[in-house]
Amino acid sequence: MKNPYIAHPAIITNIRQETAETKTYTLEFTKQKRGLVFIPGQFNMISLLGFGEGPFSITSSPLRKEIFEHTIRLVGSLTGQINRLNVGDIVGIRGPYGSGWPVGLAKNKDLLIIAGGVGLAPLRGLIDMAIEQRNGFGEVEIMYGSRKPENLIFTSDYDNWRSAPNIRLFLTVDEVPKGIEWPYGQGVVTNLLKFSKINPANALAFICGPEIMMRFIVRSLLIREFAEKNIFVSMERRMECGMAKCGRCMIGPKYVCTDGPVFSYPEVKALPHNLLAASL
Amino acid sequence: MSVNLSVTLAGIKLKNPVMPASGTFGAGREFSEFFDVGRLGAIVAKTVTLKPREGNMPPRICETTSGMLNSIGLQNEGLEYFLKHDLPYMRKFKIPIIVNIAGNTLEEYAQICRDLKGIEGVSAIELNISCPNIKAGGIAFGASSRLAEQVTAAARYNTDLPLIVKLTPNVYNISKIARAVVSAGADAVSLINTLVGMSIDINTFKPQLANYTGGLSGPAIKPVAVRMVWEVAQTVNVPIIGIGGIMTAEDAIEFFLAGATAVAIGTANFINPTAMIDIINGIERFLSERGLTDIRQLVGKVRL
Amino acid sequence: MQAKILKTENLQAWLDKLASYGEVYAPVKGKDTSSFERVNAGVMPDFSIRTDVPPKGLIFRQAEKILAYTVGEDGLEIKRAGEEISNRIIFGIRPCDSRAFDILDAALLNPYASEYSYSVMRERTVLITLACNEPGQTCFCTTVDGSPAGKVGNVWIIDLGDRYYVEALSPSGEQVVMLGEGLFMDATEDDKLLVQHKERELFKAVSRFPAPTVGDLNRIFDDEDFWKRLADKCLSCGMCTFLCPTCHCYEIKDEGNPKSGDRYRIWDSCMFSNFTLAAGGHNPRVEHWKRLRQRMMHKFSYFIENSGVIGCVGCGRCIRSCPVAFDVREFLRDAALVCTATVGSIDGLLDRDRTA
Repeated sequence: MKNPYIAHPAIITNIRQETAETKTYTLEFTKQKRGLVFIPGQFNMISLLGFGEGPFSITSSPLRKEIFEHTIRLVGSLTGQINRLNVGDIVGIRGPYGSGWPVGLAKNKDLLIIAGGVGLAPLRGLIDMAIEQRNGFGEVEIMYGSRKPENLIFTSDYDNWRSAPNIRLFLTVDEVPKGIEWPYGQGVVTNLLKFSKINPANALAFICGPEIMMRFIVRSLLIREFAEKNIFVSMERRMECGMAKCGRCMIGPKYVCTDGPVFSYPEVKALPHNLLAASL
Repeated sequence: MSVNLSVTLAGIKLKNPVMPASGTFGAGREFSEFFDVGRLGAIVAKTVTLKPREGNMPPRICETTSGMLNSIGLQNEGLEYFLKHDLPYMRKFKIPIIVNIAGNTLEEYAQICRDLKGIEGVSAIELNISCPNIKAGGIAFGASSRLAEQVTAAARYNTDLPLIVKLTPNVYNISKIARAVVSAGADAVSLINTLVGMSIDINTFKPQLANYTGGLSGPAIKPVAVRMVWEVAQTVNVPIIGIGGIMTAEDAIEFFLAGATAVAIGTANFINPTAMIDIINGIERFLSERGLTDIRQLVGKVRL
Repeated sequence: MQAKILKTENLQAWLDKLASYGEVYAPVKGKDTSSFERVNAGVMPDFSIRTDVPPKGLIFRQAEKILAYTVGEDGLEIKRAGEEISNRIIFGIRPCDSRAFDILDAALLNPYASEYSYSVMRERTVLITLACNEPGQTCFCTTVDGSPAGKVGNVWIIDLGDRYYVEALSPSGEQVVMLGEGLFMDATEDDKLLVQHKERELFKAVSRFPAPTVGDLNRIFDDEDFWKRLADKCLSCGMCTFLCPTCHCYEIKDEGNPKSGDRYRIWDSCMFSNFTLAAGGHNPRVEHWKRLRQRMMHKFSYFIENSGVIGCVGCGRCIRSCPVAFDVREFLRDAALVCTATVGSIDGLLDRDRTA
């Protein structure tokens, strides 16, 4: 029987600074020349042997065969150590774990992608995939916001996204520091929904961000007559084993590491915590 | 058998797909002596800037083979005057009014949009992005997809009105610009604006225009415009207003076939004041002669 | 294999034979607490001890090395931790503790990934379950689908006074019974009838009370007052989780330095305040009543939803060890009553389908 805890060594081949505290790491397995087979929305457990392990979304498109990427923000001690890594350093990878965005259901549908803060990370792979397979999907609307312009992640990808046909990208921040030119929106991400032109009857909504943001977004989507089953969210909890055993990530009877992190809204509604209660 | 000429563009219903190109019609005062302006699909006003502009030094226009060069320089009385005098005048025609705006900074575009909020009679805003961007060292906003996207955004987040972006042809890849402005939330695109050109007087050895170069318009540019409309129609889903050298209904039909939902008439107005009325009638005749009942049966129907 | 009879005076001989098969663990009273410890041949354990500490840690070890790593010339090398597991026998485990391993199997050998070291230990360990002739004061196994005479484990034995009735329940059980060849006689029909009678008597000896169903618990989930009252005296000390034979929450910790070291799986407790603390500071169960609610819901509701069995065996250790005398039986009774208050009648509460 396989030991499920074995982490496979992977080498960092590139690091891109996204914001002051967030970097995107490009990784390749050292033992086999291959990337990772996964669905956007899934996560790996990244190990710094001797230090610890943590769950991180896979942020590259699954169509990139040789490499895979993680976008990691410095928040605590493990991410602090990761932040000090350089190109050429090796980490341990086990995964992929969890449920991904329902890409199969999204074929030929319009996609409404809504994110806040570092919540755009688990959606980036999906966006890149929709851009590369442009004919597989309908119109794509991306609505993304952060606290300030300097907190937006993946800014070097935006021009690439914008240059694909029928992609709309709307941005907003809570505050604009003096002296910064900002022609985009100001305010909560929910305000961007007014720009949506897609028909909810033929669209899926994918949402990731702080729970309070997701709650308001879901509410607005339901008012716009999005069907509950067409709304998907990515939940976050502290995870350790990734295999529904250590008990840490449970929300009600569900494990975020295996039943999630991507849940459909009806699944979230069935959980006992009223997490995204969008009472109308 | 009646023919339907009405189209919907970015949410605005037009009773026919013909309108003037900005800058060739003023506010319609001069032309209302020749025909009922209310018969047009929409009226597109001369470009408005935040502050009044004197424009360039004369000579500012000259004729070329099958066309003309102009370097007027966006002369206009400014937004305040426009709102006080031109807009109320245009409202009398009871047709959709598209306000064409320009600025030298992103903030100017944003400000004009904010000032137009809640103003009665304004049906849509058309962004003139051929202006040089002061902050970017004078590069026209429309010259790069990044700048075009930013200026569209500056307008988009400051208005709920339908937003049309007028694209300049003086770029390497107009489709990329079109995609960029659509990504920022443009509801429609209009193309093309004028092509940069020059004419030198071989007797005086001097350029004909005081500004040296100017924008070329008229029949000479029509093939370029048709090509660009066709290219852009392949790559974006938003409606297109075709502009460039349309003199007759036959010219207009080419644009519809290439993918335009509506057309704007510019230089032709200087030669024949009733050109637009003639074109409307001509389109109707073209359709009924072929047994077609709806202008939309032509849009994008070029056979490859 | 036929059921057997072992005369009481032959028990020591069988134990000694088992010691040649593998390591034998049996209830042992230590200085302060009783637990399952290794016993040597020639020693007769006191099987009347109901141990304070369950034998959970013999198979699901408290600290288990799960891999070893080194960073050498070739880069990072990760090796699974391997050690020879010898055969073991846990003799005299009670039906509750024995059944607890089936529950741990459901949690740790789940479809996503099997807990490797646990499954190896489990395979190599034979459970010889001893029926409880005298259930304890805090026992409530019959309320949670168990019985003091529950036939679980690999071998089932019941003390009939001057002899033991021995029944092998699995191939490995048969193997260890055969080790005692010559010491056993076949059980007679009278023996079997007597055993059946005892099974019934013992089942009745532990009084059952109505326990809430999954539906009931889901209904009171949002009743904050109920949970706050319940958790009022709880200290979040985590004692209950450590002594519970079915609790299995754990964390993963590295010991060593960046050049070499080991990775361990270590018991953790959902009752600890930082159990769900995420990097960045978000802690969905920072209030202790939420953690108590999670523990109760997990054992009596979520576990049933996910695995089809109740996550509690009714051993009562949590009741005995809790420093503030929290009694889970009171919780179950209160929860069931709160629900009948809303649902209607108490008739048939005992036999309701758990999953309703």
